[in-house]
This record gives sequence, C-alpha cells and structure tokens, in this order.
Amino acid sequence: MNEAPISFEKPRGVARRFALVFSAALLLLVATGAAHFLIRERTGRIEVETRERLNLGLGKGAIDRGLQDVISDLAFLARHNENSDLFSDDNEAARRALAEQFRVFSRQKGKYDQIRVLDETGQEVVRVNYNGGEPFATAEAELQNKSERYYFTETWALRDRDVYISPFDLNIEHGHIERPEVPMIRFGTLMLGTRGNKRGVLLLNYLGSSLIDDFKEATANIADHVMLLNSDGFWLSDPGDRTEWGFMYGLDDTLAKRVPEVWQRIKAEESGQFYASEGLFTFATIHPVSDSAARVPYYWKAVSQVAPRRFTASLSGFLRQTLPLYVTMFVLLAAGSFLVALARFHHRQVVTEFESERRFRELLERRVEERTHELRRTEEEKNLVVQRLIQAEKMTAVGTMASGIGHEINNPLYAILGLAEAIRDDDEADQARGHADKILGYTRQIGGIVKNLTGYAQPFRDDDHEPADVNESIREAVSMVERTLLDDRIEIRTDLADLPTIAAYAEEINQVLFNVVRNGVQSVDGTGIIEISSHYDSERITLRVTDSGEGIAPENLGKVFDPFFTTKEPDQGEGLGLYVVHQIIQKYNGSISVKSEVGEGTTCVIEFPAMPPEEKA
Amino acid sequence: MKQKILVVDDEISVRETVRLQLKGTGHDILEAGDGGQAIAMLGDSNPAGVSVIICDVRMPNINGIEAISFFRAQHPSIPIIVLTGYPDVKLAVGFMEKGVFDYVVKPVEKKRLVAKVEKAAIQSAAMRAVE
Repeated sequence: MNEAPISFEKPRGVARRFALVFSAALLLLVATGAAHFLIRERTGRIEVETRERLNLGLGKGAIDRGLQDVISDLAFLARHNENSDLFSDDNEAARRALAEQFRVFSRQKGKYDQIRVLDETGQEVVRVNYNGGEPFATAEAELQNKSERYYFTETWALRDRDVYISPFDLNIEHGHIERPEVPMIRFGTLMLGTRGNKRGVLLLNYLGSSLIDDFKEATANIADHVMLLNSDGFWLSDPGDRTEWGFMYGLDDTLAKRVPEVWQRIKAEESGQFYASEGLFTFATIHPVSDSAARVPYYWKAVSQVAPRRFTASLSGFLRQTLPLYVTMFVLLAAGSFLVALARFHHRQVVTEFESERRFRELLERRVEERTHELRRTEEEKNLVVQRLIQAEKMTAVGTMASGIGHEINNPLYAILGLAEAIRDDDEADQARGHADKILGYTRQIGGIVKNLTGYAQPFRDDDHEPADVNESIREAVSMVERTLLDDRIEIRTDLADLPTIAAYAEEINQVLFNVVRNGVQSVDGTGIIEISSHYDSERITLRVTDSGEGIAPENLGKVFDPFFTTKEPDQGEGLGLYVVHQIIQKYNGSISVKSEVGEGTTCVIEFPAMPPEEKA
Repeated sequence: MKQKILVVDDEISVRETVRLQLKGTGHDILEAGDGGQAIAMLGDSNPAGVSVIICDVRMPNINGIEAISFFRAQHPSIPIIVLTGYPDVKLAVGFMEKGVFDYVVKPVEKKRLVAKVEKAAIQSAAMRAVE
C-alpha cells in the first residue's frame, strides 16, 4: 500500500482516538475521585464517632471503677470495725487501734482527705486527716460533734448497707473555699450492731481530683474536647477555658445555658451520639449511686464535643492530601490513553490493510480466473484457428495441385472437345463412332483424376479415426506432387515396407505427406531425386523423405515449423505447410524432425506410434 | 497459303486433337513428343520450314519453358502459341515477356485455335518476307 496517506492520517487518527479514550478515562477518574472523597468523609465520620464513643466509655469506666473502689473501701472499713468496743464507754484501746488502722489505710490509699467514725450523737470518735501524705489521728480533745451537718443526717437516715454520696463539690474550710481548689465527695455508711441496730457512721472524704485524674487519663486520646458535668450542667472538668465548679461561686454558666437543645438531649438520654450545629456530641451518664438508693436523681454526664471542622473533610483539604495521587493518575491515564489510542489506531490500520489486502487478493483471484477463462477461450480459439489453417493450407495445396491436375484434366477435356467438334462439323459418320468411343475413354480418365482430387480436398470428418494406411498416403502424395511437375527431371523414388495401420484420418496423413514431398520437390532446382521410405519396428512407423535439394541454412532450421516462416517466393505459399504438418503429427502423438545441410539436401523424419496389435483392423 | 505448323506435346491425344481442329485450314501439321524432339527438328536452320509452333509447357525431358527459350533464341521469327493445361496468369505473363505469340489454355475451341494459328501464320509470312 501507499505510505503517504497513512503518515498524513496518523496524527489526526491518533489524536481523535486519544480524545475519545482520555475523556472517558477522565470521567472515570473524576467519578472515582468523588467517590473517594465521599467515602473518605464518611469513613472519617465513622472513625471519629467510634473513637469518641470508645474513649468516652473508657472515661466512664474509670469513674465507675474509682467510685467502686471507694465504696468497697467504705464497706470494708465499716464492716471490719462495727463490732469493736468503739461505741462502748471504755473505748480507749479500740479508738487507738482504729486510729492506727485508719492512719495506715489513709497513707496507703492516698485519696482520702479524712477518714472518720461518728457515734449516734454525731460526735466524732476517730478522725484521721491525710495531711498531704503524712496522716495523723486527731487528738480526742479536738474531736467535734457533727450532728448538724448534712452528711451525718443523710447517712444516719440510710437503711442497712446503703451508701451515701455527697454532691461533688469543693472543700470548704472555715466558711471559705479551700485554695487551691480541693474537689471533694463525702461517702458515708452506717455501722450496724449485731442485731442490725445503728451504732454509728463511717465517713470518707474522698479527694475527687483523683477521680477526675483517672477520667482524664482514660480519655487522654480525646482529652482536648472531653468534659465532665454534673446534673445541672456545671462543668466538673473541662479542657478549655470554661469555668469549672461554677455553682460553688454562684455563677450561672452551664452547658444547659450555652446550648439548651443539646443539653436537653444529653439530659434526656442515658447515652448517645448526635450531630448538632456545634459539632458532634457523644455522651454517657455516670450514676455514683444506684437510682433506687438515691432520694433525688444523682448523676454526672461525660460529654465529648468534636467541632464540625474536625470531622467534616473539606474539599480543599482532600485535594491537598490526594493531589499528588490524582495528578499521578491523571498523567498515567493520559499516557495509557495515548497508548490505547495508538494501539487502536494501529489495530484499525492493520484491519484496514488486511481488508484492502483481502480485496486485492479477491480482485487478483477474480482476475486470474478471468484470465484463465480467457486463456482457455484463447486456447479454444487457437485450436479453431489451427484447424482453419490446416484447411486453408490444404486449399492452397489444392490450388497448387489444381494447376498440375488442370493440365491432366484439360488434356482429355481438350481431346473430348476436339472430337465433339469433329462429330458436329464433319459429315464423316463412320468416324463419329470412333470419336465417341474416344470421348468416353477421356471422360473416364477425367473422372478418375477428379476422384483423386476430391478425396484430398474433402474437409475432415469429426467422427472416430479410421485406421489409416500410411503407404497409401505416400503413394497418393507422390501421385499428386508428380502432377505439379513440369517435366520428369525430378525423380521420386519410394521404398515402402509393410506397415500396420495407424489411428488417424487418412486425409490428414495425406496432407502431411503431400506437404513434405512437395517441399522436397520445391527445394530441388532442375534435376534431382526425392527418396521416400517407410519402416516399421513394432512400436512405431518411421517415414523418411530425403531430397537432393539446396538444403536449409542452419539459422533457419529451428524455424521451419513456425507458422508463416518461408524462404520461398511470395507466390509459392504462405509458410504454413510445415506448421500444419507439425500440428497434425502432434495430434496423433507423432514426431517430426528435420536434418539438413546446405548443398547436400534435407531429410525429414516422421514417426507415428503404431496402432496396438489388438486394435488392428 | 499452306503453312507448316509444329505441335509439341507429349500427349498424343492433344497432338491428334490439334490436327483434327486444324484439318480444315489446309496447313501441314508436324508433331514432336517433347521439347527435345522439337529442338532437334528445327535445328539451327529450320530445315522443315516450320512457320508456327504450338507448344505445351509440361513435358518430359525438356519442358516447354526451355524449348520455347531455345525457339526464341534460334528462330525469333517463328511465332509460338503456348497451348497449356495450366490456367496460370503468372505463367502466361512470363511467356508473353519472352515474346511468345499467344497463350492458349486447353481446352480451346476449334474456331478460336484456328483464328490464332491463321493470325500467327500471317505474321510468320510477314517476318519471312522481311528477312
């Protein structure tokens, strides 16, 4: 194929396919990016939600465990000592032992500001102050009566093994809030006699800061946005700048005030998670005392607040993070699209080439077919032409012969004419009969000559070959050729052996021999000899026609069988004689060869396959 | 005037037919069987006094063409009528170029042959008179 149109077509073809493939790929990339963004945002939210819930749970657990420890300590100390002699009149030894016990306990635990036992009157019996890690038992003279204080009355009002827990607030010393702030919870429980009678009260002043520390430690992962609130919405712990323990200072700053709807929801539900305009809120409720034991609902709320910007993935942020990835993908897609476009273009090109090649091949096959058909037709036409040439040549030969034969016929005709004139013109009746007899004789003579001539000139029949007698053909040919001679200085000798017949038209064999013998005669100038012999050797019949003529020049020897080749005068034939001879001999699977030397003469050897014996007539 | 007409032909039937057709003219008819006999008969001096030759073309030994060449060379005054079976224009033209008197193709009718022979005889007499 032609290269020029392809190289011109290539950039455009590739660019068009690239645009198609790349726009599709780009669409896919944008869709992928959008999905990526959405999934990432959703995953981010879920991640945040899960983290908040988990950490808040940890914080709540830490407080629950801390409280449980305190309640356990409380129960241990109360049960362990309620049957001692503490509440009898002579309790000196028991008091000392208990004080010692409390002192060790206080130092070991490090989270109780005071451990006290009060009797039924509210009078302190034993009191150990923590004293910053150096606990000491208060002297008997300094023990006070606390019967009027809320924690005594609340605890004394308990039943059985219930526990009183005071509100979580700051310690007050001598009417003022202790500085630095000391968060405090008072735990109280009854000390019962063996019959279940109330004998006294055990009180623990729990240093709440450790509880808050535990909470903060457990929620360290979300430390910057987790808070602890009491049931009124005051902050007990807050990572930011919001006021803690506001109720202690008569302030009115609560979460309930700041975000009423949010607080409503947190207050109403035990735990949960929801989105508000202020962000994601996650909350859990802590019950220091079981609700059934508490006379008024007593709970704290652990709340985490994640600002909207923390979980809302921004598009610009997303792009900033994923830009290198998407730029890389963009480049890869562009390169891939280009390669695909190139491959498709080449594929298309190959397909086109293949297609055109196929068409070309089909065209070629059709042309070959047509050409074959044409050749076959040409071959048929050629055969027809050859057949016509044979006939034409024969007619030429007939023409040549006619002049010879004409002489022969015209002589008796002339005699007949003369005799007839004599009969007509003369009154010699006696001679008329003799003339008539002569006329009859000449007429028969003419009849014989004509019979010979018509036998030769007849067109070939197309029926089966009849066995032909080659010797008979030789005699026929010699007889005809002789008639064309002007005199008898050319002698034609024959030496004929016994021959089987051959499968051929006798007329065609006659034509072969007439041509060959005539050629011999024509090559002789003046006086000469033509020798004709036949021979049979069980396989083939061999005929030799030798003349003593001028011979054929070597350069012409190879052309003698070509049509229209002749060295004779223009009036002596068209040069078809030996060509026709060759055609006829080939037709009967025979062969012809010519040997010649200039000045010596020419020998023509013709061979025919003999008819197989069983087919012989 | 009585003339001597030589008929040269190898076919006796032809010689006899010529004789038959010319019988009424009163001319003497001489015969030769081939070119050789005719040449021998005329020789160098035409002793028989032949006035007109009627000659065939195809003959054994010496054919008509050679014989006529001889006649034209040795006896140019004797008119020659070629009487042949070949209806061949080329052959005829060739003979006319050699100076033969006429070319007649067999079979020829009596009155035509007679006319040609008489014409030739007149020319022959004229030629002899000139000599």
